[in-house]
Amino acid sequence: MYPSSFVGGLSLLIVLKFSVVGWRQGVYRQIFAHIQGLEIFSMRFKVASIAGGVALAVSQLAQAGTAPFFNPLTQSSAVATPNHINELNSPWQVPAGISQVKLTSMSEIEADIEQSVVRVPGLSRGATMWDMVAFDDEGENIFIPHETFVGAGATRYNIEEDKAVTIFAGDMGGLDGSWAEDWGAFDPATYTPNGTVFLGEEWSGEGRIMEILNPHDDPEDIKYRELQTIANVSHEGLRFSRNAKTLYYVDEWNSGSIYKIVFKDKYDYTKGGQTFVLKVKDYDGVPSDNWNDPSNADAVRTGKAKWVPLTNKKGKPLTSVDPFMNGPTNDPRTNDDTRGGRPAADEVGATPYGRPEDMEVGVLANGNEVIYFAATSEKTIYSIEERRGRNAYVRVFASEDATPKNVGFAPTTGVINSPDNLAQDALGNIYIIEDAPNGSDVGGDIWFVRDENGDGEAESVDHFMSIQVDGAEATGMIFNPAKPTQFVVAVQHPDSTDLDAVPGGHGDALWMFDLKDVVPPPCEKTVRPWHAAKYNRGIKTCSYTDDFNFVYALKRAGLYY
Amino acid sequence: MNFLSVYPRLLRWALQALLTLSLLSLISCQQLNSPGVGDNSGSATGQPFYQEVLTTLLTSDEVVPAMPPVHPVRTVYNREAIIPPQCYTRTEGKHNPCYVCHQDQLPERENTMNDRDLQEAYSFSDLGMTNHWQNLFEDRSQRVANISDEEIMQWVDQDNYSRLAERLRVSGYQGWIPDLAELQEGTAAFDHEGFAKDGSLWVAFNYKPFPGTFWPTNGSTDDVMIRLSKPYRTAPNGEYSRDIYKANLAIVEANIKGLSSIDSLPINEQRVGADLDGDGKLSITTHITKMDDYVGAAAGYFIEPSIYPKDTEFLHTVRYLGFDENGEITGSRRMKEVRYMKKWQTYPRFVLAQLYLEESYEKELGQLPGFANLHHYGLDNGMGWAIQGYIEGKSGELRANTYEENLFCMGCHGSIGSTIDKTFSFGRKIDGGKGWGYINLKGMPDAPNRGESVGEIATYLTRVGGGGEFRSNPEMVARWFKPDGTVDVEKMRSKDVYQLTVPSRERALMLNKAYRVIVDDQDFIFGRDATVTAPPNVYDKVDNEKSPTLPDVAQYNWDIRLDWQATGIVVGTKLNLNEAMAKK
Repeated sequence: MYPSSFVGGLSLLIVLKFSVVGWRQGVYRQIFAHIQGLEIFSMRFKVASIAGGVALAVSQLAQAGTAPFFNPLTQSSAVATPNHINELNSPWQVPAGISQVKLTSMSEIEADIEQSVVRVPGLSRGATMWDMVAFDDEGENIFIPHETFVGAGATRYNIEEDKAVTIFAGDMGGLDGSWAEDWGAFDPATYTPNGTVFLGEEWSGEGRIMEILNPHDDPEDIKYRELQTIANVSHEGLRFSRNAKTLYYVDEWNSGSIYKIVFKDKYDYTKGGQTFVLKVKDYDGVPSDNWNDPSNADAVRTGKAKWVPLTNKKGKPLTSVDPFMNGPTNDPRTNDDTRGGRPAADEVGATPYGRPEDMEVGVLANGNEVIYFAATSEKTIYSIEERRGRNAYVRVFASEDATPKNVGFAPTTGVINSPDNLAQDALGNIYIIEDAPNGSDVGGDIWFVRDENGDGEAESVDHFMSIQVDGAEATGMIFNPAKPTQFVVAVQHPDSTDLDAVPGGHGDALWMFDLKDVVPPPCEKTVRPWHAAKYNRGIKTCSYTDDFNFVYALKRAGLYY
Repeated sequence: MNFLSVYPRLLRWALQALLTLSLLSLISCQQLNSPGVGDNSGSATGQPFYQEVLTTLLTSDEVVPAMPPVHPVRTVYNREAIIPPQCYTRTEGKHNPCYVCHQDQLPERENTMNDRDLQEAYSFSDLGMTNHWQNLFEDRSQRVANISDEEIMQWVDQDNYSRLAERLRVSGYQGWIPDLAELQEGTAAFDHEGFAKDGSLWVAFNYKPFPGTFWPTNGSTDDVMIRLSKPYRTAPNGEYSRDIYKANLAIVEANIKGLSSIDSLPINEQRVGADLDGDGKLSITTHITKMDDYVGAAAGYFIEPSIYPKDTEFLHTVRYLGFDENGEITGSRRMKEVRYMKKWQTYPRFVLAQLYLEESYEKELGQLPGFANLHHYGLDNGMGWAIQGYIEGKSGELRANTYEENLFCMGCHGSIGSTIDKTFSFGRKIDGGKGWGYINLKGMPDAPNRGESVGEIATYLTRVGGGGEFRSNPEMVARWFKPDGTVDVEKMRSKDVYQLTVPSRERALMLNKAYRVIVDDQDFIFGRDATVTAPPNVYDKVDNEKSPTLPDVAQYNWDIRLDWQATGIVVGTKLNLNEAMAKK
């Protein structure tokens, strides 16, 4: 829900303001408590024309970013054994003041006959694979996609009721190559501006986007459809633009491209629109080759770029390959049945990146929309600044090689090994979630990306959290749009999901964190000038959002100038 | 408790402490300057955890060794233990022992590792560029000399298998517990069709040992048994049926080998309820053409080319070089290792392709290999197989592998391109009914690999330029190479695999003694190859960029499967092994 998203998120900004005037930590807490006591975070504003638009999340209207509001970690965690007390009680090492509370887990759900969750028989720790979850507008329900290779589906978890229910799952036909009623490896779940849920197939299935039309209904009433209007690729990042008209997505492949579709009708995704892929102006490599093949190794992949159309405005392909062809994920250089979006992008010369994975959409300081995406194989996060017309500009936002860590704080020995998922808080700060530790003994990390001047190039990456669960990776970090000091992260495929190997195993789980007790950094006027919200004279915040609901909330709370 | 009763215990403790200290000292001297990474953070002794593990192995005879209470990866000395010692051989731009492991995908094969390029050049991680298999460089001459022939012959003839199951049971072990009675006796444990006599439903098969290390001349004998899960052994009503089992074993074999039809043990089609040979009647058959489905209770189960059914088990014992009543070399009663793997998850080909892709991604990111820990079931090789080994402890009793000892298995059974569904031996079984039964190298012809015409062993010697990966087997050179350094293919042509690959008594005794020394040290994590002196053709460090590469002419496409038909002993002939050999 659009407005309320901001109320909570921007309440954090209020605190920033007070920090400037010298209020002490206790005061911040009181303010947070006060605001929360007024239930500002959960206020619901039904704006008919954009009902559900809130799922655009905080991110699209927020503006990157701030200084870190925590003392960064100095090392990655050691991983404990399955079902270790750390896994059960505090799976992450977190900076002081950040709380972590378990919402639910496989063991809890499966111990309750009133609940249900996807568990594909015989897949051991890969049997449920909780991936990139999505909040609904109200921040009351979390949609959990299951990245199982067959029988993929989605589970809806209600926070207040502490109850999970499977709302959608495949029939396992994929085992025999029949994908008509089966789906594979749902990696992203994205709550759409229309109040529906997108699920995207990544490395299994046929590269489809499924739309659940009534995600809050009883499982037996759930309606869904395949969106033939979105190119078939290995889906991971799925994010809407600020105006909700454009959907950005990636192809997770070592010659992966960046896509967007501009919908004809943002209220009906089946009506399609024009699909584009990103091409860097000076790129002179071979688009179908891997990003690090000799043909691409020295090619320019940053700088001025264009969105090259794959289709006309009506969605008709301009390529010889049908971008909307269903198919397996494989190398189009040696196969002719590859899901269509991949070879189509090659055909128009799209710039290849090293396994693009998750995305976020935000706003730069200059007011332009920016798309962040993780190129996992490159250990790099790129930012794409949207410019006029079909123009764009690509930068390295953060990377293991180019971005210093913990600047101004004690250094860390942590390394950005495998950047995979991204998240964005109410202030526009980006977080990088690593695909680790898997089989290692060193925890995968979550990094805070510091881009205080909002130019799309980070000044520092700061070590935020580190997971210590055996065999797992962290997935699906996302902030609560209704309570922006809260965020959740899933523990995916820990060893303890395999009940044969770990009887009584805790399993995949979802954890809630809260920043409300963390002292936020000062909002430096020189870096981030105060901004007067146009909806009310004289109210100044760090935000450019001009959100009237935020102003309304401030009034009610008496927290404004 | 009086002093006298305490004293012996004190003495024992004191001696144990002295032993521990001296061993620690020894290990420290050996390892302090070693390239291995030792994690000692939080260690009570201040020693790296792997050294604590070694000390435990030397001082305890537990069947399941106690491990430090840390994540098992922290107990690992060599995070690249999946790279076997053989990979550090000097190719010198012309010798190629690599081709039998590193191959690109063959049609219909599920293996998409596509690592044939590793024949050309080394491509190790930074850590992998150092050869951590330090035992290769240890001179065991004196210690070998200190072991008498009689002593080692007695040692290898002792049964260390029979007690393993009970010891595991008593320890509360939760993994697979050996359940094939009398396996130490080899062929005597099986009937004429290879079925275990004890009713455990393990079935032995006769296969040609993988080239190189697994030839007896390089130190070990072995055997392999397969067991399919219950649905593949039973009728739809749940009753056991040997005919159904035999039919499904044959179908699995054909599927793994990519055959459209296959000979089998005699099967009563009426009991199976299927016309297996397609002759329109239900009779006794020894030929199967129906390959699109399993039979019995497993009818309709998942089937894809080159993929085993779910819950397929393999049991592989690695043994010393034993001696029969006639003094001929055979598999020993004592086992060096018992290796067990179970296909606990069956993935279709498209998933396996993705798993290989993921493996390449991890490698590309510079991540060291990691595997799901299945605890008493060992490690998940990442491709659906649970792998757990048992190895001789200090006393010679078998014990469960440590984490790192299991890690050693993961490379060959996970990340090389030549295997079929991560296995070696079953695809190399003598085709059809004649290949069921306990391994017997006598009478087994040197079949060529598919697509080749010269026998596999002769071919290997030619390509490698020696009698094993390390090219440090003088006896093989003396036997099969001409003075000009070329292989005497003609001389080899009339020999069977036994004659070609079994060492002399003297060499056998020496190799047994060399391995016995490693058992005494319990330092398998530094290597378990039975070498007496350091093989000269092995790198202690490899430089990916500077080490010699192999030219195209010295690289080979190779199929792990064998062309048994070319030997005249299988399908389409009625010859048995001995007849075939006599004819040759």
